[in-house]
Amino acid sequence: MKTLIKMSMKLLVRTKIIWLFIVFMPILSTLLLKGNTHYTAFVEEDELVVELDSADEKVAYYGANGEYIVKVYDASNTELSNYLLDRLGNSGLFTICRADISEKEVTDEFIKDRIEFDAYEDRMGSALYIPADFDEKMLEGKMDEALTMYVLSDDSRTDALENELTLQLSRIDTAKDYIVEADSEAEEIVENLKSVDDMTPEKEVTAVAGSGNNLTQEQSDQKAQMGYAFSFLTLGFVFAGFFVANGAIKEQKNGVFTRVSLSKTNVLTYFASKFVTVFLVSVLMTGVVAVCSLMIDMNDVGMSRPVFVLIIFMMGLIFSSLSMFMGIMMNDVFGASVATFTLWCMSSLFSGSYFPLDSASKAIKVISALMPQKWFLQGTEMIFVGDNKAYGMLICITVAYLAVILSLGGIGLKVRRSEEWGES
Amino acid sequence: MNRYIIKNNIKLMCRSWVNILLFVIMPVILVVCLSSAFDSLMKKYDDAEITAGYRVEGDGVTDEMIEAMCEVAEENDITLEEYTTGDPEELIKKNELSGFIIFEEDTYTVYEDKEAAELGKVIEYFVNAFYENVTASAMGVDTDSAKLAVEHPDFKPAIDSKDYYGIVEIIYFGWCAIVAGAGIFMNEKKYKIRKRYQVANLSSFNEYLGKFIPLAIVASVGTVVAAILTVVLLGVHWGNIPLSLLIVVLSVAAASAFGVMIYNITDNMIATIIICFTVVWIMGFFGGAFETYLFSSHPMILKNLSPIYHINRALTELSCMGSSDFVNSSFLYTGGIIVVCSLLAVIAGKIRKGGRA
Repeated sequence: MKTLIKMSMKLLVRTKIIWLFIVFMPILSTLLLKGNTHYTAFVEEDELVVELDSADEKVAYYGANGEYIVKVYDASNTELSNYLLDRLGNSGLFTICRADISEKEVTDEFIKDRIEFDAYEDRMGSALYIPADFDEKMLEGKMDEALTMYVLSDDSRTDALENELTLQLSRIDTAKDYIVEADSEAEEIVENLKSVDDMTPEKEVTAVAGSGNNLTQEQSDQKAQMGYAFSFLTLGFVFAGFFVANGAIKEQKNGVFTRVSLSKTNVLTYFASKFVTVFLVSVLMTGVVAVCSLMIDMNDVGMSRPVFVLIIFMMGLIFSSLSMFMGIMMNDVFGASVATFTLWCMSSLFSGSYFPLDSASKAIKVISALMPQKWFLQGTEMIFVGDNKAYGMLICITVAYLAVILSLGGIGLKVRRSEEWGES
Repeated sequence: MNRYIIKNNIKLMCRSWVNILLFVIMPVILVVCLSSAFDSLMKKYDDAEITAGYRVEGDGVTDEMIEAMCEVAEENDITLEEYTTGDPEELIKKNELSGFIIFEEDTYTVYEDKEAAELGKVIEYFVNAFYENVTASAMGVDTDSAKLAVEHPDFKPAIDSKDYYGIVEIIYFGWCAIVAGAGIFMNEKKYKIRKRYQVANLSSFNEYLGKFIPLAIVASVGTVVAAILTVVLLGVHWGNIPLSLLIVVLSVAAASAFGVMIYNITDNMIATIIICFTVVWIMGFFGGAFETYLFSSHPMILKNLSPIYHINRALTELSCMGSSDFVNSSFLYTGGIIVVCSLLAVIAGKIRKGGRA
């Protein structure tokens, strides 16, 4: 056993290209991870008006469940404009995403550019532009100059938005006439209207079935970051396992495997020795990842560095064993590389590492439950909220996946072996 | 001479049909899965007949008001049914209601089904708007004379998730073209065919063409078959078919040139596959092969650098709008890749040959 491992390691270390991957892949992954700084995919909103960090932020994901999104460019940000947006949000049908641009120099050109971007690079129901002189125009009764609505979809709910906007603007217009005093008019209008609003029955909304996770906004961001980290950082491990498999395939083809069997070494022992090799390579790669992780700000990930590295190691081990298993089973360099890569690609997708799968069909959710990343994401979520059971769970999951892969590998190798004996 | 190699290589590639099958089957599987995952996100909202239940508790609303509300609701394709007893959650599930409203003294509670949240929101909106209009008319608000500035700029119409992924995954797998030729290139090396080329005095350029042309042809055919399969099985819409076809074929040709270049440089098939897959995956990742490029918030510069982004965008826009500004840039990218990669591949081949001689 020892000799087998030593031999495999020696052969691996001699392959120059594997060094390139052991060192280069984690670095590349880390760079990719660092390059992605903003994530919107996991946001779940309960507020009436979503405040966007900047006018450039994309809003498409706020409509993940088919909501009608209104992106608002608010250059005014007065009490009156805030009241209007609150009422729009309160109506329930629209998800209002507001970008506060009152501090900015707003030109027609800027708005034109933004709207064009929204129309072609993002997805939303409509966009609203509230110019800086919104209050004055409303007080002058020039409703049609007070704000502009840009229809950016052929959604039938656009009519409802138009009606609601018209209603709210007319209400402000009417309230204005009630006020006799000329000073601090806008505030008074808002107060008057709010007292009217208080007379309508209060609304309560209860969502039936299912409940969202209870992560904070920051933790949601971190979870998204982790999802990306999982997929990027494990890619290198996938290839590492594949190199080990390549050695095993060559050993089978050159008759080394037959000789090993003749020395009364069990097939399982042989397979186990390959696994230990994978394990050692994974440890090596994890070392590189740990060094690379110095580049990542751990606040972005939301856990301490050792835990982060440990999680990456466990995931990496699962994937490198898997790719080794596929390689040995398929006994074909290309088939194996293509199959493993595809498998990795698919599992990242279906685990929901890149985007939430909450709205996907049942079948997809079942597939998702089979993916290791899905459980690791769940584990990180638990670590975020300080649940120590997460560690036990993650180790159990790793052991479970490894057990399945190894036993399948051992049995598969035996079966294939006896088949080949039959042929020859 | 050259024609003979090309013909022979095509024949050999077609024999390793398992690899070619990958081109055809994998995209179909991915299209089905991804389009399902993104279905609700990309779905267009459709007006639906909505049925909601309600119950009045206390004296919050009068009979006349409920009657008026039901009438207005009917006009807006919402049916309100009264349920005097029962748990709202169970009633929603049992009667397939989109929502349930309970009117109490000074409040009302709207129960929305999470599975059909967008319909629940319509109900919520309806009740809210009803009350607002009542109080507004009490205030003497006149909405008829109000004018609102509404503009209708051009926008990219919503593309169905099936069409999107149906197109995008075909391109993505087309970029893995090198797989189709992997087997014969390996064997070429193993059985020392290249030495024989040398004896036959085949130039590096001809040797390159002998790899590139058959690979591009076989991979294109595989990709087009996959596309046809998705059209037949799933009903994916491709816009301008001749133009789209040209973009697809060029994109596969670019992928082939890229693959052969990497192979000529590394002279190692495993390394080639790994490098190609990594590069293609990264390009696909930023180019919208997995997460729709409309939604992803990767920096624009990274997207613009990815050739797959331009190809994807050109094809999806051709599908949903019939025209696209990205057609030219996708031609530019694929053309550029073919020329540059071919050049580098020939040079690399020449150096290798020189070194061996």
